[in-house]
Amino acid sequence: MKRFKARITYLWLLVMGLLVSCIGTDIVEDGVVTERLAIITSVDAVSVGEAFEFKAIFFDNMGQMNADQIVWSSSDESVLTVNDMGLVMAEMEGAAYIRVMASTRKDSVKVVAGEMTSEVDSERIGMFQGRSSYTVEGTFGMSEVGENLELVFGNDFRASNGPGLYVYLSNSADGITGGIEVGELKANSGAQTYVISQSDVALFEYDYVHIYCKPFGVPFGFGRFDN
Amino acid sequence: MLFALLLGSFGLYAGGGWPALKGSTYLKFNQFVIRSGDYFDPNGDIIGISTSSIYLSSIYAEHGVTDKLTAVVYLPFFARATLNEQKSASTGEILQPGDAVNSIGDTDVTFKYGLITNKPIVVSAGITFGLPFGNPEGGETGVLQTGDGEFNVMLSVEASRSFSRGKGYVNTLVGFNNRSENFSDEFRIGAEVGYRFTQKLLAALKLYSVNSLNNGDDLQTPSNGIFSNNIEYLAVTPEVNYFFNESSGISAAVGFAPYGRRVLASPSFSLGVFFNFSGKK
Repeated sequence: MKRFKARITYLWLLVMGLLVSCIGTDIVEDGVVTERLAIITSVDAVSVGEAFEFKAIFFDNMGQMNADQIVWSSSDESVLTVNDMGLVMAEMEGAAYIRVMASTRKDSVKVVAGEMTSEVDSERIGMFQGRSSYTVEGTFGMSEVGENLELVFGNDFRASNGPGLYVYLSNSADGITGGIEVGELKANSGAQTYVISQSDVALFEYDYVHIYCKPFGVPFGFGRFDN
Repeated sequence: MLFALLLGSFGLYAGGGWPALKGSTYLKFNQFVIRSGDYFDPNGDIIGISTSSIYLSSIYAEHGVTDKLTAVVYLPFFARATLNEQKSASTGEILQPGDAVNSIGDTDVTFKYGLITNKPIVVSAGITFGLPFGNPEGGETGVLQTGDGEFNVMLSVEASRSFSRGKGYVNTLVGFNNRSENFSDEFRIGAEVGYRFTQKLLAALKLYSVNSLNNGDDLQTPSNGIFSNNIEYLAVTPEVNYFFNESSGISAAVGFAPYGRRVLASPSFSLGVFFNFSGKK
């Protein structure tokens, strides 16, 4: 009988040993996203006789930034000229479109050549919506504050509780591929502010804000900037 | 909590409405595993998540304190939760490192009293204390759980009867689980049919349903809500028991969840050895 019990115990220990897991690897299919090209300079007028360096970003379908493919042009070179680096020169009073092309994408911005250089409103706003039947709601905005950007969630912000929730910026409504991690979600409800260095991110570089369960890879919600 | 799938299978142990005879002890060493990259979200839809696993080595014991009072302990003395690392298919970059936590798990202590013991249908009432011995925020990420961080009390009533001259049995259970720390309370029901086809082989089919009353608050619970609060599921668990003799044997079970909310969406597997020390039901 003792021998019999010993065999059973041995069997149990063997099974236990076989079943105790190592940590495995999941392969994440993160390859293809929608290309995005945008002029991100918040200037709508340049003083005649002066030059201003415009900036544009291009994310390829791997979500990678690829500035080499950007081609600049002006709709009226008698008013505004632009070189390969995006340096815009105001030649005479008038207005023209500064254009960029990369791959299959195009973007343009209307610029006035006038008496002075002026910046446009540099605040972006949007509203969250939930995904995967999780609640994420409320408003958010992002603006330039000194050398940084401030991403601000309003008092009406509310998100379902979840493990390891992080804030991301990306250029896809579907996920965070090609985006950047802003930081861990500070609170599931209420106003909160995230400071992002402009050396890392430009104001108009990303169009979406995500609330994402990082450890389990579950999107809880997202919002798109309206402007 | 993920453990619920396991507790479901133990909650309807063949003792059911029959209290253990005074002095008798049923002991089971069990190994449980569930591993999945799919998850029932709060709406009951299946979504993909990072592959997660939980492994439990446990002792389950029933002891007849008197002919009507039975003490039951479920102790997962080793609980391991893991999370796979995430690797980009396009770049090979590790997007998120894997994680694991090992600890003791949440433990249940139950006292069951036989209300009707000498009729064809026997009935017992039980009170279960759920002790939060596990870790609700484990691993480097702080998101792995071997417990849910709350103390709970479950009241239950089990009714059972045998058929075919004792070869078969039917158990049913109704329970109310009162959870603390702003977790939602639960209503539980279960049923089990078992039949001893030969002297050595007993097969059983167990159904166990956990239903949240949704009266808690996710934002107020001490742990994250993805696996712990407002979970619901229906577990269907076929089980086979092979008896070496009348006092020992092995059991194997596979648990399926055709419906769930906030639980992993893959089958669970259990293997165990059991011993019956004196006394018969």
